[in-house]
Formats: sequence, structure tokens, C-alpha cells
Amino acid sequence: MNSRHLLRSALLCLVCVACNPNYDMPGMFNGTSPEIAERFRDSRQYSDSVGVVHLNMPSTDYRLFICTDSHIDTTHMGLEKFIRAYKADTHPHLAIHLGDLINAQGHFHHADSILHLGGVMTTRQDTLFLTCGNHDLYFNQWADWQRLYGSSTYWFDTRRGDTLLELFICIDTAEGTLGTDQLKWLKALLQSKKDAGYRRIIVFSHTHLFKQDNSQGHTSNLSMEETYELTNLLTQAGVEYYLCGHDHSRELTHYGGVTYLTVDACADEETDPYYMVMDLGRQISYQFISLLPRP
Amino acid sequence: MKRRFLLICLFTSLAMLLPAKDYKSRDGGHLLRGFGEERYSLSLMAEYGYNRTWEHMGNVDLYAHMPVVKNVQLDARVQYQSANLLTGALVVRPTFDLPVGQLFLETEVLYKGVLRNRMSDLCAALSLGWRFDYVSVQIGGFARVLDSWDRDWHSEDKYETEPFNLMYRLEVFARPQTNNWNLSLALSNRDDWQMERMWQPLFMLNARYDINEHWRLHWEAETKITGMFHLNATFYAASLRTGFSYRF
Repeated sequence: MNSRHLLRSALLCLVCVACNPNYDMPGMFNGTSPEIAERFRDSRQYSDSVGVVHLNMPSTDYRLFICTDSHIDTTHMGLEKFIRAYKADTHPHLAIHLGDLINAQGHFHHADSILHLGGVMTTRQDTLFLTCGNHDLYFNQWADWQRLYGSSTYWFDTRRGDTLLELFICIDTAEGTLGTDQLKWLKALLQSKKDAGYRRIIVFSHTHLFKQDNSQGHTSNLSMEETYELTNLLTQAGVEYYLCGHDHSRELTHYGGVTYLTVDACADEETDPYYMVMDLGRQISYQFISLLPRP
Repeated sequence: MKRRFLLICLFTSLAMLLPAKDYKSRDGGHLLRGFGEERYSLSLMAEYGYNRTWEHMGNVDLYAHMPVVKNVQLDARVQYQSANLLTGALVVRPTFDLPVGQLFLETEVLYKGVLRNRMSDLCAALSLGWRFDYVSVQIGGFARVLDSWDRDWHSEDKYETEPFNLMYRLEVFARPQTNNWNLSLALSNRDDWQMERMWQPLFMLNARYDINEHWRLHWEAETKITGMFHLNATFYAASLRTGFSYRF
């Protein structure tokens, strides 16, 4: 292969990648959605206008359904299975989607229709919370995200009567940094809630903080300074779990008293898609449910 | 593919056998003196930095460059950041003069004591580089261990490891290394004080001016983008560094 041939092949590859509608090439070098400071401002405005959600649970034991990285494109099998399983479950529960709901531009309406599947609704209150992933922001789609889901930085809690159960905090890490304002907000929130009497504090977001295997090249995450600061903050505040996705492969690690749990992707193109079910009570137990058809 | 790889190996081996270029300049200095390898030197730098986590900070950097024996250099570096962070690094760098440029193998241990967060970040790196008058390229890998100083030994807590991170550096110079001043542009995921994950590139603009035989002025600007390729990429940090070296 001569150098001209090599150059042609490289150019062809570049053109193919640039023409692929799933790659937001400018966004990979300089985000096309508004940056975190603006998203945080929008999110806080929305959250302040609608108020904080306090979920009154029928029992102190309840179930949390978690899925991530559904990357909805033309198909939605994994996400639909997850939603149907969540809605068919008889335990009192809620669900969290950890980001990258869609894959590329123009698929929010498709994904949103799956989230609102109503055929198997039960009589209890269904609640599904979402966090924003990088794919949800590519192609300048923050406006769509905000129109549908309002906020990417918020908190809610679960209660049983007057007893506080869990505090859930959602942070926006889709940019690889929390940004100055969001970090200050998180510090202040954790400081104010640390001794409020919650059974446990759970923080969830899209981007993983650690990656222990050799696949560092697969997905980018936060810078080291941010990793130092955030892990220390979670430790100091007594956070019990940090739930995230982004890497598409499962990882569980304990650092500074916090359990960092990266959940497998539930996207249709995954060879081994999963979602997670977490039972919260006096103790926590969890299992990963395969989305592959049973033999 | 295999045959091509063998050919490259053969070519490189033959190149090694050729008489190495004499890197002595007419005034007795080293032709690649821009890399600063020919004499012992001490450097002191002052730095202003900004990042989105800590915001503004001031840093003091101290460097010692020691060509202990011919073609083996030892670097020691210490930095204190007003963001309450202490960094130390030790580098051993054997060099191999080639007919074209110089090959170098770098072993580096970098320790960061994150006093404010009561944790440490230890990186060990091994990389291979090839530098010429106008270009320097370096590629390798590093491992990282993060550990909390308050680790509860009677719990599930453990240190965090990143067994393999890619390390890269490409630097392009405006002038040949013999010149008494130079400007360079560099792209890397590491600098003298940090080893970042591979998708957190640092863009650097460096300048030096040799005032005389002993004194050299440095000026460096750096910016860091976070989340490139796999996140919604954005600006994260910037720093300006200036100082001088005394060459013995």
C-alpha cells in the first residue's frame, strides 16, 4: 500500500465518520449544547418552579429499577423490556435512567413514547427519574431534553409518613465537569442534608468516576482534579452509593466509604444488555437482570 | 502486515548500527540543547492556574535537571499549589543518539498528595520518544493508584487502580534546538505536574530564551479540554507559567 493509497483511505474514513448521523463531530471537540453553567441555571430555574419531589412510600422497603445507556435509535427493545418490567412489578418502587436515553439527533419523541408506555400501568404512583447523558446533548439537543424532562440537576427524597428514607441527588456530568456553580450547589446541598436524618444518600449521574479495567480508551470521564474533589465530597457527606452508566460495562468498587456502581448498558446493540434492580430497606440488595431473550 | 512490521524493525535496527551523529555544536554546547540535557540546571517557576473545580490558584514549581552520566539524565520536580496540593516527580531518561535525532526512554514516577482531599495519586509511566530539531514525539503508558488517607481497613474500602492509561506527547518547534530562543506547540495528556486520562488532552504553547550561557527564561501557557470524543467536550482548565533556569 503506497502513501497515496493510505492517505485516500484515511480521508475516506474521515468522510464516513463525519457523515455518520450518529456522530456529532463538532460536539466531540466543543460541545454543541449550552455548557454546564447554562444548563445548571436552566435546571435550577425549572426545579425551583416545580418544587422538590417528596415521594411518600407505602412501605419502608421498596424497589428501585435502574437502567442506562439505552441509546434509542430505530429500535427500543431493551428500554421497552425495562419499562414493562418496572411497571409490572408489584413492589412499591421508582425507576432511574442514568443517561444516554437516545443515540443521536431526533430520537427523543421515540424514546419518550417508550418511557410513557401505559399498557401495564398499575394503580400505584409510577415515578421515573432521568439524568442527562452526553448523547442526549449532542447535536444541540439540550432544548429538547429540557422541554421534556425539565432539569438535569435536582434532588428528591422518599419518605414513609414522617420518617425520612432515602435522599436522591441527580447531578449533570455529561460534559466531564460539574462546573463551578453545580459543584457549589452540590456541596451546599450535601452539607445541609448530611445530618437531616436520611437513611442513606444516593447520588446518580451519567459519567463514571473510576474505571479499573484496561479500557480507559473506551470512554472518557472526569478530569483528575474533579475526581479528587467529587470523591472526597461524597465521602465527607456520607453518601452510600454513586450510580452511573456511560461506560456500558458493569463495575463495582468501594472507595472512601462510597460504593461506585457503573451499570451495564441496556442498548439493543449491546451483546449483553442488563438493567438493575435494587431493593432498599434497612439493608440494600441488588441484582442485574439480563435483557436477552431467555432460552 | 507481519512482513511490514519486520521490515520496520530491521530498518530501525540498521539505523541503530549507523554511526550516531555528533551532537556537539561549534561552541561546545549540545545541538539539542533546547531539551536541556547537556548540563546540570535548576529552575524556578511561578504559575497562575484556573480550573472549574478549584477556580483560581497560584503554584510554585522547582526543577532539578541532572545529566548523571553521559546519555542518562535524572529530573526531579516539586510543585506546591495554593489549591492545597503537593506534587513530586522523578524521571530517569536514558538517551540514544541516532543518525537522525535522538531516541529517549522515560521512566517517571509522579506523586500527588491531595492535601485538601486527604488522598494521594501515584502514577508510574514508561514511554519512548524520538526528538529532532523541530519535532518531538513520545508515546507510552502509565498506571495509576488513587488512595484515601482515611481508608477504613476494616471495610470493603480499597484503593483505586487504573492499570493502563495511554500517554502521548507531540511537540512541534518553530526553531532548531541550537537556537537561543524557541517556540513550541504541544499536545499531550501529561505535563510536568499531572498525568491525565487519555481523553483529557492538554494543549501547550511553550517559549524559551537563553539570555546567556547560564540563564534561561521560560514561558508556558496551557489549556485543558475535558470530555473530548465521549462527552460534551468543554474547556476545563488553563494555566500560565513563567520562570528561569540556571545552568551550571
